[in-house]
Parts: sequence; structure tokens; C-alpha cells
Amino acid sequence: MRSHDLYKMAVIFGIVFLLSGTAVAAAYLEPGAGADSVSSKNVLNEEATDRSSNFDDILTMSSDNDSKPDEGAGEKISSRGFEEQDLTLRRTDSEPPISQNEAMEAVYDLGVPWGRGDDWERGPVTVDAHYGLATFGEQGNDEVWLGPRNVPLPSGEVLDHVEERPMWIIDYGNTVFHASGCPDCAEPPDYDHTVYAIDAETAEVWFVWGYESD
Amino acid sequence: MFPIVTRRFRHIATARLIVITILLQPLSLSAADFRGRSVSVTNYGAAVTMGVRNPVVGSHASFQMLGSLNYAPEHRHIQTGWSRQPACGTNSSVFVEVYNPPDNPGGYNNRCNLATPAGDADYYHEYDGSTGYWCHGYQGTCIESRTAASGVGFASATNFAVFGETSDRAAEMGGPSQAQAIWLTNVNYKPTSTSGSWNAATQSLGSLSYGSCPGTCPYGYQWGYAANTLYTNNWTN
Repeated sequence: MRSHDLYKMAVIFGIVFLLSGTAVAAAYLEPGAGADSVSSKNVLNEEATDRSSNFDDILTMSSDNDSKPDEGAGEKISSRGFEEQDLTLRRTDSEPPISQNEAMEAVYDLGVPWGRGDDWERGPVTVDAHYGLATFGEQGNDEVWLGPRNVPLPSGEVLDHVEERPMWIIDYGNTVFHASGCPDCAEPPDYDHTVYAIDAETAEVWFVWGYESD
Repeated sequence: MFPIVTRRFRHIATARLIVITILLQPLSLSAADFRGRSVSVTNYGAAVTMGVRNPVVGSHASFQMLGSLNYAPEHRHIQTGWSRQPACGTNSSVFVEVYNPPDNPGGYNNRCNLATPAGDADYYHEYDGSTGYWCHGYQGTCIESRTAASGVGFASATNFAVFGETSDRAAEMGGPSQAQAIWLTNVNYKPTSTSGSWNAATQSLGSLSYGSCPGTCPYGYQWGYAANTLYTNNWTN
């Protein structure tokens, strides 16, 4: 093969290579393409970060929050932290069997790095705590409970369901809770809030979930 | 030497080569990953016996699960298994999830439960036509019920899957090596909405693999034809 032919082949190969590169690049750079691979990373929480390891301060803050939407025992407590959960939390006049401090210690003892409200790798951790009588789910058809059932307790006992149970619900912001996706799904979110349901009688964390701040 | 190659053409070529180089980077740049099997069969639930360990995850997450899903619409699914992630503490814990976009703005509803699995444990989820409810099951017991209509978003699924997943490739998944793999055995699916009816899953159902392999595929591509068994080991090895 002559050098002239080799030169022509090289030029043709180069053009084909660049055109294919352009096509691939265009496919990737097309608006919307590859959206599934874009991680929905959390934006640092821009809410007021009243992080503090001083539990008295936190408790005061939480009480203020609680008193705004509703007053008195039996009133439903509303919170962004569990509005997407099948949880009903009602105010009670009874004193909590454990303090918010002890409830947060239970989270910490579980091995959660931000359990005490200390800074985590995403920065200052926000804490929003509510105490009340918690019901997860509701009575369904044929006496089947809708929601969490047969809750295993560390004692070995099984609780049929959680209804009007004294619990702390503590919401930690600037943290992360990972969802699981599924085959070919869009990448699941990494929530920037993690919420803990702590049973106030046993001082145990029973459920953990996450949500993404607005 | 190449007179037709002008300066501008060289610049364009260089820019395109840079783009091509970026595009051809290893897939390790992506965040999450899956390894497992999705089986195309109409089902009203699935079951599996699954081992557990505490994978090294850092600030990420590792999951081992089974799921029933409909690719259309919207990849709605119900999944049951375990997860290890900092939010749920030091140990792997039972994890349940539903993805039903109309149910809430984000679509996902999931949580870690108090239960901490040890050794092999049985996981399942099933739809009961007599109540219209789905159950997440752990060790033979229903640990959470949801309505098919509003909670899960479907009664029957077109596929079920057994798989491992991480939120980032920096996190371990499955067993630490092929020799110490996590085994997913007794894979069954529920063919009708009638309680008590389960079929063993076999390759003859028309299984298809999913998950990309950055190099070799160390995880999840061993599906016993008759033994309805899958094993998983750390794909990062």
C-alpha cells in the first residue's frame, strides 16, 4: 500500500472518529439525557441551624415549635418530619418517661454519629424534637392493622402494633438517609433529614426514616 | 505534514478528544450501583432467605433486598431486605420501601426497623387478595401492611428482583469475597393473589440480569437453574 493511500485512510479514519465522537457527545449533552445518573445531592440546609449540644436549649426550642399549631392534650402535632409517614402524634399532659436528652442518647447509642446533635460531615446538625402519643398506621379491614405490625422488641416480645405509645420523634437536619432504588429506576434520593421514633418507655429507637427538605 | 489540518480544526479535534476521554472514563464515577437479577414473571410477591453482614459503608449505604416491581408506570415497587447506613446505626437493620409516586411528593416511603437480622433470615412481601393489602414480611411475620390501592400502587407486579445495591461505589456490597459471598436462597414468587401459593424461581422463567460491570462481573451473575439461588460478593474487589 502506498503512503498516499495510507494518508487518505488516516484522514478518513480521523473524520469518522471525530464525527462519532460528536454524535456520542451530542447524545450525552442533550438536555435531559443522562438525567437518571444525576445524583440528587443534598443542598445544605438553609434553615436556621439551632444546633446545640445543650439539650435544655433544644428542648426549649422544640416546645416553642409544638405550641404553635395546636394546644392541649389530644391535639395532633404537625411536623414536616412525618407528614409523609403514616404517623399520628398527639400531645399529652403526661410527663415523658425519658427526657429529650435521654432520647437523643438512645439515637447516639444506636451508633448514629449525629445522635447527640453534634456537627456531622455535612456541617451543623439541626434538631427538632416532639413528644407525644404516637400511632403508626391505622385499623384496616378485617381487623388487620395497616402500618408497622408485629414490632419485635429487644426483650423478645412482639408488639402487635404501635398505637397511642409515648414516643419522642426527633428530626435531625443536615444528615443523610439513603433510599434504595430498583432496577433501571432513577437514582433514589439521599434525604437530608433523618427522623427517629424513640419509644419513651424502653428508651429504644424503633423506626428511622428520611425526607428531603423543601 | 497534514496541510488540511488547520489550527481551528486541531482545536476542535482536541476539544472532542477531551470530551471523548471524559465520556470513556470508568463507570466508577457514577454514584449508586445494583447487582442482581430481575425475573420477568407476573407475581403477587416474592420471598428469599438472605444472609447478613455489616458491610463497610462510611457515610454511604449498602442494601440487600428483594423487590416486586412494575417497570410501567413509573417503576413502582415494593422492596424488603436489610440496609446498613449511618442513619440506622452501627448494625445492618431490616429495611422496607415502597415507591409509589402519587403517594407522596417524593414517591419513596421507606424506613429502617428495630429488627437487626443475624445469620440467614427470611424476607418476603406478598399481596393478599382477600384484604387488598401488601405485607412486608420478616422471619415469617408480617411487619408492615399497606393497601395496594393507595399505599403500594399495584396489586400484581411484572417482575421481581433479588439484588444488592450501594449508594456509592465506595461502600461494600454483599459478602467480602466470592469465597465469603452472601447467599440468597429459596427464591420464590407468589403466582396468584391467593394466600399460601408460592412457586420456586428458576432460570427458565426468563430471568434477565441487570447492573453494569466495570470490569469483570464478580457479583450476582450466578443464578442456579434449579436451585433458585443467587450469591453475592463485594463487587469492589
